[in-house]
Amino acid sequence: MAKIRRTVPDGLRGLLLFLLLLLAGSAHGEEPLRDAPVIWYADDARPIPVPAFREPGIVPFASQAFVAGPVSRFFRPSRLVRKLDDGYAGRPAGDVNSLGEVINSTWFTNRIGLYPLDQTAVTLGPGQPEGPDRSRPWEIIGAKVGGVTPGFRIRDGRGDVWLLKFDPPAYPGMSTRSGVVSNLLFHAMGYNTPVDRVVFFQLDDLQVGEGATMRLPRTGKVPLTAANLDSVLQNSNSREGDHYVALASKFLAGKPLGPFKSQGLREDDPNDNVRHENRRTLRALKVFAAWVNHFDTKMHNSLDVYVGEPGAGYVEHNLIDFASTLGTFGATPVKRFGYEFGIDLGSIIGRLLTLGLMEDDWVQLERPEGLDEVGYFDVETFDPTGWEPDIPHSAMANLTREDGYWAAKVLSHFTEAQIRAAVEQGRYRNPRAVDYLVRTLRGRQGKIVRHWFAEVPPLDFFRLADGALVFEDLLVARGYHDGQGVRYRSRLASVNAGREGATWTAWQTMAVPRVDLRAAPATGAERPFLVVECQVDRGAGWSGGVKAYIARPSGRLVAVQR
Amino acid sequence: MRWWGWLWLLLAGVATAADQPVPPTAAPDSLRTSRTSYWGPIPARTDSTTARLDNPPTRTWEHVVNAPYDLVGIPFRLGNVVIRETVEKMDSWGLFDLPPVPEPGLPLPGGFLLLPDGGYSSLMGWEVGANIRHPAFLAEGNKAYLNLATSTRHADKIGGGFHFKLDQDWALELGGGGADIPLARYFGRGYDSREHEESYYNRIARWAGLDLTRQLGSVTHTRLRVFYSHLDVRDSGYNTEAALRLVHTGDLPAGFPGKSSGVTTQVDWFLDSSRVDGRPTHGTFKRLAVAYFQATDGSELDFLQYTFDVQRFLPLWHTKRVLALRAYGSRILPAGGAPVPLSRLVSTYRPYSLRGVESHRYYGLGNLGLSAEYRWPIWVAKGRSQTGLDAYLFTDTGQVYDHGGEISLEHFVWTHGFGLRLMGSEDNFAANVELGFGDEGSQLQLGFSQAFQFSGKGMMYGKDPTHRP
Repeated sequence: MAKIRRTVPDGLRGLLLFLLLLLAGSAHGEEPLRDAPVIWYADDARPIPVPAFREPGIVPFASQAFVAGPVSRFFRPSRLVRKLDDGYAGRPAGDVNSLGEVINSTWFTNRIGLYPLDQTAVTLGPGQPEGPDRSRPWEIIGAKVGGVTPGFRIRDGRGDVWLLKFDPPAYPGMSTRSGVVSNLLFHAMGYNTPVDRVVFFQLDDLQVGEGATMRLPRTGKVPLTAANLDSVLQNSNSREGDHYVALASKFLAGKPLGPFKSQGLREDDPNDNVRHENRRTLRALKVFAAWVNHFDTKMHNSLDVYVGEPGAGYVEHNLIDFASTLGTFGATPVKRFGYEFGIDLGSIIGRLLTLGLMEDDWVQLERPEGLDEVGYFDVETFDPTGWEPDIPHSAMANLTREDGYWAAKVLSHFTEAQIRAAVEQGRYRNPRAVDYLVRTLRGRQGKIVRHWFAEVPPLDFFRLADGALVFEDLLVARGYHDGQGVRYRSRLASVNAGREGATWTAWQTMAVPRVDLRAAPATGAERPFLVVECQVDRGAGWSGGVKAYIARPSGRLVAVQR
Repeated sequence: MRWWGWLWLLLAGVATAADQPVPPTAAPDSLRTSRTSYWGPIPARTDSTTARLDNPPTRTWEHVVNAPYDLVGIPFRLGNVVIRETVEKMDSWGLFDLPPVPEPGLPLPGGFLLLPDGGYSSLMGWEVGANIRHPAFLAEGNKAYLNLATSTRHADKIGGGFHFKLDQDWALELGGGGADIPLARYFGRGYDSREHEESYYNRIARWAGLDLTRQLGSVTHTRLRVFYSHLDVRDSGYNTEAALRLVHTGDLPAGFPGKSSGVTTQVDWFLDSSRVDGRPTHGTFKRLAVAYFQATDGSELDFLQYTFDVQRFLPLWHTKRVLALRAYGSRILPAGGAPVPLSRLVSTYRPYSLRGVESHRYYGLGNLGLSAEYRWPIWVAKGRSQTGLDAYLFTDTGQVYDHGGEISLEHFVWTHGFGLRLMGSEDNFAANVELGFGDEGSQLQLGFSQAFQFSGKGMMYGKDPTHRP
């Protein structure tokens, strides 16, 4: 009998076998189930010695961010395998609990994403809505003139130190206002931010402090006097009526330690255990930053502070400086920001190969007519999947679909009234600017939410009530779908801690998001967890499943898997 | 498959199947209702709801698939460490924190600025040099400039001068320089010179003169140029087997070997409505020049030379897409009895003409040419009018001639190519790299000159005025 010759080369067979093994093992494994309370808090505020101050220069940082980081990510095989698996290259996040929520920590405190917030809470933000204390004139203790915009350091009546920042003379009223609005939005999301407020003041509200100096670009430090103070203010073009307007940013309490990196760890902080590129808190910035077009997410717009007495304190991680948001930029608004990296090889090569025959969408971007306080910020050209910061961000590059879904979920909680309340804190002169920004933020919010809720079924907030498992369909609950023609289905099984051994019941269709557990299969010592898989159909077929795991001995919800 | 391949697969398979990540630990149960969330009550911070976070475990399969990458990447990671440490050290020295200045360059004593210079061309090889300039020499509006360069093809250049702003409309430039090019090429005279007759000679040039410029309007100005030049063409000490004397025995060009000295008086008229020289999106550049050369070396050489250069920039369908068109020509009309020597002939000289052929490929008493470039932006630093990179496709055609009757499309040489042009601030030209192709091969040019809008450089910049009429 003739032998049939193999036609597939040995090497290719081996490669295919290897890939099968990998995919069979799944690139994204799940943790074992535990019948224990869900973790909501990180133990990352243990007393540590004061870490060293560290702030790399912008050039060393940019050279790594633009070259070393992207090249390393591009060639790393494990990222390619994960991308083949589900389209996303990041590893599972390390700062989330078994329900997929970000754990409260020194990085992030759940606010609008977990709790209903009223407008007052949004506008209050990190506090001090009135800005620097005015019981005494603000004492100027330092000034910076030249560069993009001038700024003063002041000490208010309570002794707090603030930074007064002005808009570029050619674009008054833009960056100061956008900085305050975005600060409040990011604080409502859960990030640690300083107090940023729009303040109006007159020359008499300022007082030159003894020994105050002014740093000039070529001359260096010179004494600050009342005369040159007046000159600086005149040149700032920040006058509105009989007041000057500025953004007042309160210095964070604690000892500044410099910015945090978007990759790796702070080596001298023993509480910093999760590599930053694996933190959902930082990866989700890609979604949050896209919403307000916060393209300037470089590390220098973050700040670690040591809070507490030396040896008894810990490091708190903050986001700062939101002036380059809502389409503005310090020097001049730029159309390209948010659409591609500062040096985007993909876009450069694309434009080279297409011989300039195609025009980028953002080239035609225009500022809204008659609204000189608003930059390049729109809905029509906004693509939630195409948004990029100006400088590549390692954590953002590791965004997974679960990270994106979580961020969209947080954003979906912002109501129009809350957004308007935040925008009004910008104290825009023109009420049409407020309307435009609210409308644009809502439009961009809608695009983000619809995109990620299509990637991951938005069945969430599972709770046990009266013998049933109830949950929310966030697309309907948040007003992005009217609920007409929507149906749900579920099935149940018992599993072990490894999520194995399921023998599913038949699918049961429901008109509302509620699963009756009275007919749930029995669990036992070998399979002590009940798994309920839910799907939704909005007329285009059944979605992927979302699984909720319930520990039968205790009756608690212990995990959600998407 | 080799045995080690199967072993690797086996290990990966076993590792994948057996992977069990370790979850974070938590203390025993202790619930206390705190605040109601969308999940229901969120318990207060207790031991059971608090955990020390850790990185998600690295699966064994990740170690396996990344092993070859980690191994091969060792030298690259080491290189990155070296680069990173170097850049950080430079940053700690404050090299990146220099205060902004109106002109680029490393500050030197006396307000001078130093900039490196360099480039590549087939004529000069790899050039390296430096520019020293002063943006406000003795007074605002005045400038000083010095350029020195040497190259891998043994060429040396020095040139420079001064610019004095006399008043709102008048300016005076004084300049001079010298160039020693030991490997200048000569293929023969005329449009039909042959590629295989490539030969080399040494061209030594010295010049000094002045430009007196008057602004006539917002876009037009005129210039009177008077300069003395001394040119010496002789045998080269390099590539002697391809020396001009040997290759063109019996047909040596007039004036070789020999020297030529004389004074050139030239009047130029310029019209430039393009506003910028890096990325003009509209406008016109026109130049008409008439020059008279009279020898001072005792020969009876004198001639008139007419030059024209007309350029048009046409905006196209998208933002900053431009079609740049150019027509140019030059013609020597001998007046005296002596033949025009090799050193004074018109030649095709890159990047100003026929970018797909060697520099000085063709010599004659005149030349005529057309160029077209399609330009489009591929990168901008911040906005549309700041530092950026353009790509362009070009085609050049033209010929040299001794008599008008030789002008014919059949004699035109066609070249084409592509390039990248770096723009400095405000759309001004900074540098370019281009690759041209012709029937005789390809030509790479890397430097700080471009075919379009080059005629405006004055004597101060120390460019050889005999090369570019």
